[in-house]
Amino acid sequence: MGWIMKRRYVGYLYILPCLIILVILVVYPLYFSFRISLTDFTFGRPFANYIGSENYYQLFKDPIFIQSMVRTIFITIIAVLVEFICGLGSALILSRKFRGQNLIRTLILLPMMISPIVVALIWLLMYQPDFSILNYLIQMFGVDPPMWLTRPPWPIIGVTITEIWEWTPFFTMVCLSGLASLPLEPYEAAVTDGATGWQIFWKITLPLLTPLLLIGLLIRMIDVFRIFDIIYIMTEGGPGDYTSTMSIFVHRTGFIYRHLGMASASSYMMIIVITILTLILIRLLNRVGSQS
Amino acid sequence: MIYKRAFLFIMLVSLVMMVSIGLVQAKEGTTIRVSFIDEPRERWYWDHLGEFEKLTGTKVVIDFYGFETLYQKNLANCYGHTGEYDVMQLHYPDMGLFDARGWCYDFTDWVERDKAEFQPDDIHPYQRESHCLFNGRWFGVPMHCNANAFFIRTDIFDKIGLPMPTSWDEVFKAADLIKQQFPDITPITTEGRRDIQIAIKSIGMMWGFGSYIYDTQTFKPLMDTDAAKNMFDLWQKLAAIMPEGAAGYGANENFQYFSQGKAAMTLSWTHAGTNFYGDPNNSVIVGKWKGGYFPGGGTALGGWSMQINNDSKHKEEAWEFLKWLVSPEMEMRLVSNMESPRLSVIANPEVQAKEDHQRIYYEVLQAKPVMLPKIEPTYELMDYLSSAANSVVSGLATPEEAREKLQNQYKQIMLSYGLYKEQ
Repeated sequence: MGWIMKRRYVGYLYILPCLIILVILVVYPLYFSFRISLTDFTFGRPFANYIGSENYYQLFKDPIFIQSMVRTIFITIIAVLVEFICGLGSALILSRKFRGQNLIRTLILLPMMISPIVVALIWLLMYQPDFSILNYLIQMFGVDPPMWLTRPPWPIIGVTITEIWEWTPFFTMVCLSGLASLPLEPYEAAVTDGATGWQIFWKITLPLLTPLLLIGLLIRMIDVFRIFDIIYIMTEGGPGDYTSTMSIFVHRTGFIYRHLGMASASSYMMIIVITILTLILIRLLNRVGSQS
Repeated sequence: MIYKRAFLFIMLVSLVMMVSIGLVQAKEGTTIRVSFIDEPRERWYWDHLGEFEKLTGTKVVIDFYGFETLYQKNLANCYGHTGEYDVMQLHYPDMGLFDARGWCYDFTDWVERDKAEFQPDDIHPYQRESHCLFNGRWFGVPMHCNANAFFIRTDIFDKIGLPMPTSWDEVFKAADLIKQQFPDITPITTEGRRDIQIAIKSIGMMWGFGSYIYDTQTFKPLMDTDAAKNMFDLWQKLAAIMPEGAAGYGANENFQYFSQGKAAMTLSWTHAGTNFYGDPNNSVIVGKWKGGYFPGGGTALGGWSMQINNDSKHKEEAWEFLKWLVSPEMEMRLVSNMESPRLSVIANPEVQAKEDHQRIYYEVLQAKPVMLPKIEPTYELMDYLSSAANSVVSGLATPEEAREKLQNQYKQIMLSYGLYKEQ
């Protein structure tokens, strides 16, 4: 047993339980689903045949899948950008001292605490043309309200607004914690040098916050890319396939059509796209890190 | 030392507890597990399971699920041969997968054996064909039955001086008069959302125009026929007289819209009359509605089939449970809670006088409604159909575009399942 206590091996021993769990819960399912993606496995059929990359080839020929992918990327970019801008803006306002600050901070976090299913149901009612409070408010300005969930392009806008409403508080929280931890010295120096508020924001606040913001962007981007529950409840991917995202496509292919081979292949396509986007952001993060 | 003793003591206590629980369970008798859709009729059974237990000594455990989860649970149960559920509630088109694959038990002999008690001839012949038989053998008993139905506001139709429409032309003629005389009332409402509801209605409509969605002998898709063209054209015409948001309406939104007195006609379900429009707590049109067959003569049949898992170790007990679920006495007790498959209930004049949904359902069954497909890719076919019809209703595609796309999709599906062989 003496050898096992040697420093170079004992470390491995400590991480072994974690590695075993990781292999069982992450590596094996990934391997299993990849293997399935190379077959024509349909749930309920007794046999699955190896078909190589045929599922992947079929996916690229399927206009519904391609449209779903483009739509998912579009929703991700718009939602994350708007959440970022609104979150940063609200954090800058909330970081100033004012009466009822704590109450406002708590209230602003509420959407994020609600289950996405409930959020989707709330907005589903808000978008109803017959009794929607949203449409009532729009009509007050003398404008005809849109058919939020049924007439293109509004369904995409509708689900993106819902996603933004729910997750903007995440950026608010990230930015607030970042602002609270910023050093005071650069601000004091800037004020002494006569910098304007705008200059202070662009030259000091934003650069110092950037590493934290990029991590927030990364988390949200991965999350929005998998958007499912809101769309499933509000439109089920409709009208037609107009709001079908990649997750909706995977769910439909796997759990309604039972084509688990094809669904696994489309899941892998999701992983590939999201990995590319993540790598770009991580490179950006590293560059910013080395600059600062 | 003290730890070792404590450990041994805990182990001993655990062992005694496990043995005791096992003995108690063995003494209690057989337990069967059932998967149910989470609906009021099924909840009613749950409340009355004590009666069955008292009658047979068999304990029943029920798990409730939503539509899609129930399908997944049953599928995993059968495909994995887990035997988790002895009795499964299947949407009857699922018979094309579950019964075809031999996952459910063929109890034809038991039906014959227990004929006097079960009274199979009391089940409407058309209901037997749709919900009970697969390839001529008994696999299920019908429960939670319903069909598409057409409802009108009698007060409005009295004022415009028209009888209940029986054709689509009559529907549009009535719609014109309603628009003139009742500008605040929407002529017709239905489910336009991209889900199974619009697909079921489309199948009914197409049937009314003289064709099924595919050739039942050769499985050739029939979306290139005049019937399909008429069906999609009809959706486009209906969209013009439906509520603006109807392309997003599911079943509940549609029930509510008509219950609130906002529409003069609705394409809905047989049970909607009694359950929604006749409910004074939720409806402003109590006593002002009438239901019947779909205009154009095509109505689709919905509903569920209760089946026994072939992996069940308690098939006899499961059969006893099925008989109890749909016994003539039980059907009479549940007369207000969904339509009955039994002639002794739906054809009973006293019942018909009191329960409008039973009368409507009997009329629908007598007119031979169209069945949903009972083949393996049923849900794939239905999903593509719902997408196509919803595209037309929402103005995303023209009827011609939707129909052509659907024909190609159907062809791919039928070919991939080896059902259709291209000449």
